[in-house]
Amino acid sequence: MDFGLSEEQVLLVDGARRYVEQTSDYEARRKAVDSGEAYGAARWQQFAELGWLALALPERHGGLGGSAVDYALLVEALGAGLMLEPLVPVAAAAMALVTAGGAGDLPSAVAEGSARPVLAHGEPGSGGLLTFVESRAERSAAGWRLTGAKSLVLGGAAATHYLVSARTSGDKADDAGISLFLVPADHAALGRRDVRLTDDSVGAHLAFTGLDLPDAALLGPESGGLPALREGMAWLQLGLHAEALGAMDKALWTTRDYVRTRRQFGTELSTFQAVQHGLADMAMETELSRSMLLRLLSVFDGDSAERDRTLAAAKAQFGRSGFFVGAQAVQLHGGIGMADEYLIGMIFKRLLLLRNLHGGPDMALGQLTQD
Amino acid sequence: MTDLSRDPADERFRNEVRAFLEDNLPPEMARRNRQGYHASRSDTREWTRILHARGWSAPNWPVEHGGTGWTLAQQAIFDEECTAAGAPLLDIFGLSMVGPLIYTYGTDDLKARILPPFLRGEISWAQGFSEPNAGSDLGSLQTRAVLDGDDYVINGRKIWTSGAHEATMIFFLVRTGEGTRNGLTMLIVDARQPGIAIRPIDDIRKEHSLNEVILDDVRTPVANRIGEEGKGWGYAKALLENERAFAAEIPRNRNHLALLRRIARGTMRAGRPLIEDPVFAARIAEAEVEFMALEFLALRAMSDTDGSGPSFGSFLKVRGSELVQRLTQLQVEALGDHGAYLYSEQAHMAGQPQPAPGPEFAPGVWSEAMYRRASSIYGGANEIQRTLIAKQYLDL
Repeated sequence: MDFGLSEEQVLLVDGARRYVEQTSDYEARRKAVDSGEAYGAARWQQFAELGWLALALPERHGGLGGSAVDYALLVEALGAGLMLEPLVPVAAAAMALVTAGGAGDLPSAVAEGSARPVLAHGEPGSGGLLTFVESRAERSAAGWRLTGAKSLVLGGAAATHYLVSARTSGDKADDAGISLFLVPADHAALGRRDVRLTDDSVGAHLAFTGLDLPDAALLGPESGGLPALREGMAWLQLGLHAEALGAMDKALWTTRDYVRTRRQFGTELSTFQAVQHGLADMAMETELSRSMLLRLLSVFDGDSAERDRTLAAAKAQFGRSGFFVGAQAVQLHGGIGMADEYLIGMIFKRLLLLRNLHGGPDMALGQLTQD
Repeated sequence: MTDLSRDPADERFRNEVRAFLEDNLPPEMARRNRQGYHASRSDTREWTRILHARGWSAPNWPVEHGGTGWTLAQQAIFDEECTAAGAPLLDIFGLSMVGPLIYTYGTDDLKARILPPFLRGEISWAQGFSEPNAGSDLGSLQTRAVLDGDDYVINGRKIWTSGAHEATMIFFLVRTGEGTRNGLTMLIVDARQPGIAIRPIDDIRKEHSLNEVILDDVRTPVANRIGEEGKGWGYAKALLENERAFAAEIPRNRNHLALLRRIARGTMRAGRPLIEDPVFAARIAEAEVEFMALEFLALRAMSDTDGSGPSFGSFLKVRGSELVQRLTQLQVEALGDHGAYLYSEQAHMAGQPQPAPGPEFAPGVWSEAMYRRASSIYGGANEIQRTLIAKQYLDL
């Protein structure tokens, strides 16, 4: 194995880091949040121009054909800036679209920045179980009629399309019977509520009460949508872990810098061994998480039992480590760690939200016990 | 270029090692060593002889000193396969500590006298660093060596000396001057000579692994000094860092994870196999997650052959030792009532009946769990490692 970066990867990471340094000051983020916008449209266009939206997409879909490693490196660098833009949810949906097929030029439109599809898969009762889908689609005169609800749709408020999982056969947790439908975000009969999330990003909660869709809304085989869904959710988790890693790394070094300058009892906090050991634990959790992400990347290409297993392990690792690093960063900062306007609190809130997504670490541990 | 795939050549090497073990590891030796009990020196020496016949008795040494010249990945594979097969541990004091110091800093005479017989399994080493008032703080060492003609004359007291009672040679860190950086010297001493008194200390398992070593006008020739007088502190530090990627004990932890599963499958609790208990199964899964991350951290450390990345030695030491403690503790817990029975190492080694009933996997589990409490103490206690991380990685 060689963990070194290629020249292209170094350029990619440097570019993303520079972008974060120059544009992602936390005051600007707070203003964007206060303005109520779901994402920065101007920034999204910059992402497209920088090639980031096309990075992992295959070339035949207007992408750059980059690897999962390239993608993870980019997202980690952007994760340090706590971006509000739904780059990860959109990239995941685009990979699911590519796998499912049948979405026409939509992936290319993602690469150009004009379309922002996101996965609408999780439901209030699914708790992170991939095959748990209660929403149903039935044949209708016009094509399909959709009934059900989708919760915590990441990037949902900024989306142009939803890639919705719904049952066309089978019972709620069956492997077979899941189909994928493409629903335009401006569909007149879509019950959509944009919801501000605890980390200041904006998601959506969707309700379908007999939503009519044309035949062509079905992507991929009827009742055979699981492989594309699995691919999309794998990319979503990979991206969220990479983002978390960037945020953890930022929390670690920000805390290191803080304890070097903050003085109490007549000396820098960094001279106290309790503080040093607290930071050492943060460092170990961060580097173990980075190692787990690399392990995931080493098995990421192609659907396999080992990838599923490593996805579960990564979920458990990042859930535990992310929460620990975020909480420890707040603790070592003291009072300022509790302030709304300060970066460390923002990071902690983001890491906590990521931890509890998709059933949280317990769900992942449960998956690991099942063989 | 980033390449996270496994090298196919490594897998071929793994098969070669496996085949060798199948043909050459005596089954009775494997039986004795597969459990948590520690290899006897006679098993270690015999196994060293067997490996030497194949040129493999120093897996981590360069070819010019009689080693294999294997890559770090190959060494890790060899370790994994040997551990899984039940091969006795090799003499780590010789292989990872004093051996590399001798071929790096020793005179040609010293190399010629010591290295070949060691590779043939004719020398057993013990390490004499700790003293009653100097544990992790080696700067406080008081055992003193004074030059007298062509000999050093050593007086003092060492403690917690593992395996001294079975060793033929001991490498001591002794005081030859004042201060830490320039006051300590590394000397090799013949363990069987008048003036050396070795007193057993029963360890926490009621077994004899630890000793107190009293040195009363012990003589060793100047030719047995490693490197220069007064440079011992630097050598000791180099030796501890030499373990780097191996500090995570990946083969040992992998083996303990497998044993934990075996115990949990083979132990009934409330009418069903323990592994089916979701709470216990989740705790195994948590430990496995830690292992999966740690293994890749060790691979990252190993792949950094030019030392350009951050040093992960202390990370691996802390988390590797904590994991081995956690796994062995879970094993004892999984044994249920049998985890409280005191089995006999001597009976196990001799293949005789145990004084307590229980499944075949029970003897040795508690013993290993107790012994591994030392893993967060030796080689610089984990508190020291955390301070090192703060200094080296975080630059505090």
